[in-house]
Parts: sequence; structure tokens; C-alpha cells
Amino acid sequence: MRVSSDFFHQTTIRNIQQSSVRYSDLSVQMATGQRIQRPSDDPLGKVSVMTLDSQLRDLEQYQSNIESVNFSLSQQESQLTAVMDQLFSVQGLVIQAANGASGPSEIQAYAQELTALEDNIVSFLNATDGSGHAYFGGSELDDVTFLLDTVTNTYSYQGDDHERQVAVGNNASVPANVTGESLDSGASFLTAMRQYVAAISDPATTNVDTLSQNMIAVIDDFSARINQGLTQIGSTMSSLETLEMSNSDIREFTQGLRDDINAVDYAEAYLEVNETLASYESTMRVYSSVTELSLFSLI
Amino acid sequence: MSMLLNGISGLNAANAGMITVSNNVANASVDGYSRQGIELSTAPTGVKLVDIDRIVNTFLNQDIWRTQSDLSAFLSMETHVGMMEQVIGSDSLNLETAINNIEDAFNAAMSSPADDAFRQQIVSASEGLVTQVSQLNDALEDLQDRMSNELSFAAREANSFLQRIGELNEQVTRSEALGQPTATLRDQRETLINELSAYIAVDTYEHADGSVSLSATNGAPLVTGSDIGTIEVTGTSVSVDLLGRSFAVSTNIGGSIGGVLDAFYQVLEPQLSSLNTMVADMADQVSLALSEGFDLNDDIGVPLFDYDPVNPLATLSLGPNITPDKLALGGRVSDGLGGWIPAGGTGNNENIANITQVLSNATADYSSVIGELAIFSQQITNSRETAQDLSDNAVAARDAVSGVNLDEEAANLVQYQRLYEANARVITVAEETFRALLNAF
Repeated sequence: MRVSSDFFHQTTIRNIQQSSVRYSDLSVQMATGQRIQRPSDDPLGKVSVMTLDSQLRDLEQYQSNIESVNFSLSQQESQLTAVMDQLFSVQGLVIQAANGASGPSEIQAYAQELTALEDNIVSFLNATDGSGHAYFGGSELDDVTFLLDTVTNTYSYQGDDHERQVAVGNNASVPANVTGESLDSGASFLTAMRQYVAAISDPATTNVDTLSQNMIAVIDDFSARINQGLTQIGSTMSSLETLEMSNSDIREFTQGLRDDINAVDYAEAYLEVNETLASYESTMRVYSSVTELSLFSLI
Repeated sequence: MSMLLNGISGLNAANAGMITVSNNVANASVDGYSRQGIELSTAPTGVKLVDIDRIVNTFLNQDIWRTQSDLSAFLSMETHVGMMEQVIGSDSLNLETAINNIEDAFNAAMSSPADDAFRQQIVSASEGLVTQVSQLNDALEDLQDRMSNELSFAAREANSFLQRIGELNEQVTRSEALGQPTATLRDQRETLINELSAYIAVDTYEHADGSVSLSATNGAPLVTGSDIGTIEVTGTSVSVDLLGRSFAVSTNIGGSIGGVLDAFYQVLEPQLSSLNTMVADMADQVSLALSEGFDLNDDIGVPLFDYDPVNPLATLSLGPNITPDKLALGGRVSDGLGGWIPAGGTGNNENIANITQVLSNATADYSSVIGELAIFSQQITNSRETAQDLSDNAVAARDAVSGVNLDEEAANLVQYQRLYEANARVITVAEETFRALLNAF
């Protein structure tokens, strides 16, 4: 085949251009550390990277959910532990009242102390967070959780049994609150306590010991429920710890996968840069030596 | 005497040869130049110059035009689709991240659904998406404008080529009729057709009178004899007007005009429609999920997003009535009468899971839009590389026949120079012989 002089120049120039495009691609890859500069470099890889990125962001969100659930649960735990402390005092006083050895003035003193303890327990159960939202009211955040009706002298539960499920992992969610419904269904303990205190405050009451015996059973039942609440919080928090660890494992794995797809293999890229440079250089050498040859310079 | 005449005809032939060589050498780097050679034959006295030939193969030229059209079609497609890819796939305009942010904001509100800060975060993240969608829309509209501008520019260029080809047709026809040489005119016309085919692919037909008719590959006539068509562009629709009639030109017509049309109708429009569907679906699904819940005021949820169905991408906005307290995060239960009532108080978060599910589906949809575009773009790049190879091959095949090789020209020059010297010698010998004869008396 004849080779025309013009064609030889054009081909050489195109070869040089191709080498320099490849070289510039590689140097951008090495500078950014990213193998996929635009989606078409690796369509499937790009889609995978996008999916993995979205998973990584989900994991971050789960982590911050875990932190906020942990915080809220530990607040609730302190309230319930405080209730428990008060309940021990209540228990002690009621047991003393039950043994029948106390005189009327002592019973009055117990009644006064019990009134104060009742107020404390109610205030712990009605506790709210920084935004004024009740901890134990289920989904009824703005109502007073346990409301006293001074006419009938009874408490009523204003909340519901809604446990907020919060997503803390792929397909994993945990309850973020303990409801008043599970702690004191129908406010039966608070009402019983209120009426017990009212009864023993009345000097006309003669069966203080019997009433106190009955009250001890009610207190036992309530403390068992508070304990259940504390156990629920404890087990949720410990499962959060496990989830946190598995989430961080998944994150590490996902990040690794993402890097496998998208990160530049520097050793390979470096070798390729050298190859490209070598072919670039040799193309130019061939060009310069061939162009020196011309029959015109010999005749 | 015949020796003198023989010598002179030889001198003339050698002269013509050297002029041809010098012409070839001068035009060695002109794209599309076909080398010339002299055709000699014997005459009653010496040698006769029959013709100065263009050394061409018409089929090879047509190959070049066709591959050139393909190449520039793919090149311009590659450019536009590449820009589209940069716009849609860029990290800063990535809708996936924006939708993810909304999903995260909803997720974060799970632990404190009544908290105004979390609700405000959802509204802000949604505003973020609205801004991104509008930026994306602007960028895509810019792209559309750019395509339309490029079409107008290409049409203007192509029209000037059509004009000049029509003029050359007339000149060739006239010269043919007068028996004058047409090599240079034909060369010019071929070069023009070659350059025209970078804008639009053409089918050619050469008439007996030497004129060439051109038509687009879909049959729309561009030049018939001395009648010249005009390529008209309105927005992104293209037509050819010839003799008062208008012929539509659509996709797959090659050249950069065809490339832009293909990029627009085969990539940008489908992508726009996918994005529109995706945005509209996402907005609808989120609204539906919200309407299945109750807000802080125990009212049924209002839409988070609003859009005009004619063009969702351009019109996506926040719902007209949406405020943080109107986000329906609370679940619902049947009221036993066929209606719904809130499942609980303001702390109920049961509806959030439904909404995040919808949003996570939307991000998957967006990834598949990007995936499709990326695969398309990759295919175009591959096709462009193939077209480049084919075009190179076609040029190589043509140049193997018609291109100038300087070494060959140097050898020819030496040959004609020697021919000239030899004939000059013949003339001197004839003159010496004649003089010797004269001196004998």
C-alpha cells in the first residue's frame, strides 16, 4: 500500500493525542484517588457506589438514632430508678403502719410523709424532656400523664400504650419509650395510694393495719411493674450496644466494598502511566526520525 | 527536422510532468487533495500529452463521506451525552443525596416526632431537594439550548456548503460542455461534500453532465443539479426547504446535525421523561403516605410536595400548606365507620416508616436513571471509537490511492528532469548534426 505523507502526519498526531488523553485520565484518577470519574467509566460500578453510599448514609443515621434513643432511655431510667427509691420508703412506712404497733400520732406522721412521697412519685412519672414532652405518656406528649381529680380523689392515666419504634439498623427498630400504661395501668396504684393515705389520715379510721396489709400487696405489684420497665430499658440499651457494634462492622465492610469498586489501585495506575509515557515518547521519536528522511534532501 | 520536433514534444511532456509534480508537492498537506499524474501517448512526431489525470477512486471517496458522517454524529452525541452525564451524575446535583437527606430527617424524627426541631429539619431537607431539582432542571434546559444553538450553527455551515456545491455543479457542467479540464473543480466539490458530510450524511448521484445531486439519508433532497436546498432549524426540529417544499429531517441522519438530534431525541428526552416520572412519582407517593397519617393538630396529612403534571421537574415545590406541625408523622386507625382517626397523640410516629420506605424507593429509581445514562454514554463512546477507526481506514484507503507521497514525487521529479535533459540533448545533437551538414559545404 502507498502511504501518503499527509496521512502519516495525521496518524502520528492522533496517536500522540490518544496517549496524552490516556495520560491525563490516569493522572486525574491518581490525583483524586477515584477510579470512576464519570458514570460511564463503569456504569455498574457507579450504580453500586451510589447504593453503597446511600447505605453508608443510612448507617450514619442509624448511629445518630441510637444515640438519641440511648439518651432518652437513660433519662427514663433515672426517673424510674427515682420512683423505685421513693417506693422503698413508701414500703417501709406502710410496713410499719401494718404491724399495728404505731399510735395515732405516728400514723398521722406516716400519712404526712407518705403524701410527700406520693407527690414525688407522681412528679417522676409525669416527668418531661427538654421540650416539655412527657416521657411516660405514650404518644400523648403534651398532657399531664397521671392527672389527679381532686373531686373524686382519684388519678387517671391520660396517655396511651404507644411505644415509639425507632429504626436503628437495617430492619431493626427498638422502642424508645416506656408507657405509663405498662407502669401503672389505669393509674390503679396511684389512686390506691391516694385513697390509702386519705384513709389513714382520717383519725376515725380504725382498720389501719388491714388497709396497710392490703396496700403492701399493691406496692409489691407496682414495684414489679416499675422493675419490668427498668428491665425493658436495660435490655433495649444493651441490644443497642450490640447493634452499634454490628452497624460499625457493616459500615467498615460497606466502606471496604466501596473502595474496592471506586478507589484507584495506585500500583496498577502507576505502571499504566509509565506504559503510556513510554508509548507517547516512542511515537514522538519514530515521528521525528521518519520525518528526517526525505528523498528531496538527497537529490 | 523530425528529430527536433520529437525533442520539443519530449521537452513539453517533461515540463508537464514537472509542473504536475510541483503541484502535487505544493498540495501535499491539503486534506482531500487527489494527486495528479500525466498521461502520455506516442504521436506522429514524438510524444503527446493526453491528459492530466486526477488519480481517484469514487467508491473510496464515498466511503470517506459515510464514515465521516458517522464519526461526527457520534462525536457530537458523545459531547452532549457526556455533558448530560456530568450534570445528572455530578455529586453536587445528585438528587439521590438530596432524597437521602429527607429520608434521614424523617428517620431522625422517629425518636421525637413532636419535636419542632426535627420537623423543621424535614421541611428544610425537602426545600433542599426542591432547590436541587430546580438546579438540575436549569442545567438540563441549558443543555437543550446549547443543542439548539449547535443545530443552528451546523445548519448555517451546512447551508453554505450546499450553496458552494451548487455553484461548483454549474461550473463543472459548463466546463464539461466546453471540453475544459474539470479536475480542480471536481476536487473542490469532493472536498466540500466531504466537509458537508461532517454536518449531515449525504447520498450522492453524479449526472451525465457532471453535476452531482445530494440528498440526506432519509431521502430529503439537499442539492438537485443547480437547485439548492436550505436546512432550517426551529428549536430542536430540523427540516430541508427546496423549491418551496419542506422535508422533515429526523434522527439517524448522521453528521453533527444527526448527532445532536440523536442525543436530544434518543437520550435527553427519554432521560427528562424518566426524571419527570421519578420526581412526580416520588412527590405523589410521599403525599399519599402523608395523607394516610395525622399531623400535630390531628388533621389528615397535607402533601409535602407540589408540582404541575405538565412539567414536574421544572415546577416541583413544597406543598402550599406545609409547615412543620402539618407533617403527618402520626399513624391512623379505623374509626369503625369507614373513616380514620389518629392512632394516638402527638408522640405517635407510626407513619414515618411508610414515608421513609417511599423515599428509599425513589433513590433506587434515581440510581437506575443514572445507570441507564451511563451505559448509553459508554456505548456511544465505544461507537465513536469504532467510527473513528472506520473513518481512519477509509481515509487511509483513499490516501493510499489519491494521497501524495513526497518520496514518490521526488523520484518522479528526478525522472522528468532526466527526461527534460535527455530531450534537450536530442535537440542539441540535432542542431549539431544539422550544423555539421551545413559546414560540409
